[in-house]
Amino acid sequence: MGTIKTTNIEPIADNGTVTLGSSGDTFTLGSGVKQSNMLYPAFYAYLGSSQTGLSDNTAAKITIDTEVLDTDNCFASNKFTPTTAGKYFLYASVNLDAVDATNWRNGQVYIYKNGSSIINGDFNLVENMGRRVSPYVSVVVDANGSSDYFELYAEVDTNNSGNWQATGYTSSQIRTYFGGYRIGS
Amino acid sequence: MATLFVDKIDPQSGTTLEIGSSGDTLNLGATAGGTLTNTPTFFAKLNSDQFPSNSTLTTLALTGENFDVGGCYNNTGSTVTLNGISVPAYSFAPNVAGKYYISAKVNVNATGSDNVSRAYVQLFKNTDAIATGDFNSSYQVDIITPGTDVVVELNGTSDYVTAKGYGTISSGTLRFKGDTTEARTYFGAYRLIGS
Repeated sequence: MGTIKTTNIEPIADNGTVTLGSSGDTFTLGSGVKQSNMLYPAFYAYLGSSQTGLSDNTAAKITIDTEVLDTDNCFASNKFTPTTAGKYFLYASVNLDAVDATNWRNGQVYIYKNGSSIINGDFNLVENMGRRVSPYVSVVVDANGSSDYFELYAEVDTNNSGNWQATGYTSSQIRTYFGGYRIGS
Repeated sequence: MATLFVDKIDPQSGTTLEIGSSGDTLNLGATAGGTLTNTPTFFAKLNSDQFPSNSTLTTLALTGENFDVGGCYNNTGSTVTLNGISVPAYSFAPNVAGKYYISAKVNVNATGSDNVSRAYVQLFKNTDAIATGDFNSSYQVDIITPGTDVVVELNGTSDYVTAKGYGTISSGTLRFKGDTTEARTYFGAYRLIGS
């Protein structure tokens, strides 16, 4: 077995490509080795305080305000704008609260890409209403690493046409969250 | 391009080994070779409504591929051979062994309004159900979107996974809703790095 000892491996040209191995080969990180940036950029954030006073039957941007993880500073102003092109796994859930019992008719959670919805988690109870529902959505989607951005939206159709809210961190539990990470090119 | 043949790379000193600088690209074990990639991966959705029979578990006919890295997802209604593996209709049969994160969601609705009482989505490994997301209401409602996910080991030679949906309605025509741009009923997977 040959061993190279070095501290840095670079492509011959700047911004070039280094290829490790060929089809059928196996690369192993030695036992206990830490890989410092696999699946980056990555972020995970949640709603700290409930977002209240949201208008009936109108999609609202969820103002996720508490970051748990943001490896490359790509999550800001409630949007994720990854700086590396690739395929990203994104996931989210919003606790949709109609404020009053038997007031929740219909609700949806969306992930928007560049201002348009690309995924929809929908519960429509119509006349047989409840109060809270937490739709979950996940998607694998391409991002160009420069201008593509992703946001979390949600809406509720309340029976009394009143306001609804997205529930924030309550009783030591995260109720509304948004996360994502790069899974490859 | 220069090629270096070696079996092991260690830090010269200390405990950190760095490969590349910002802007460089590092390819790990092209195609099926490396363990340090999240491929194969795919994501597929219903591009238009599917109309299954009432109270009948039905394979989600997900023809709309957003992508299919590795070409392991069969988006047709017939069994086909992909990467040397016989893959049933609308199933994912990766040709790399490992652990996979799988997710699916079904948007259950009916023509008319307020007539859905139950819906669930199931993931099958080969012929066995391995994950279920279920919504069972005492009342009739209009739309239910149960989802489920699981991490499962697939052998890379014959194992496949399939997503199926189920709905019970009191009247009208049952449908799993689809859309060309917004994923409402979907199925996706990727391989977990290093597994």
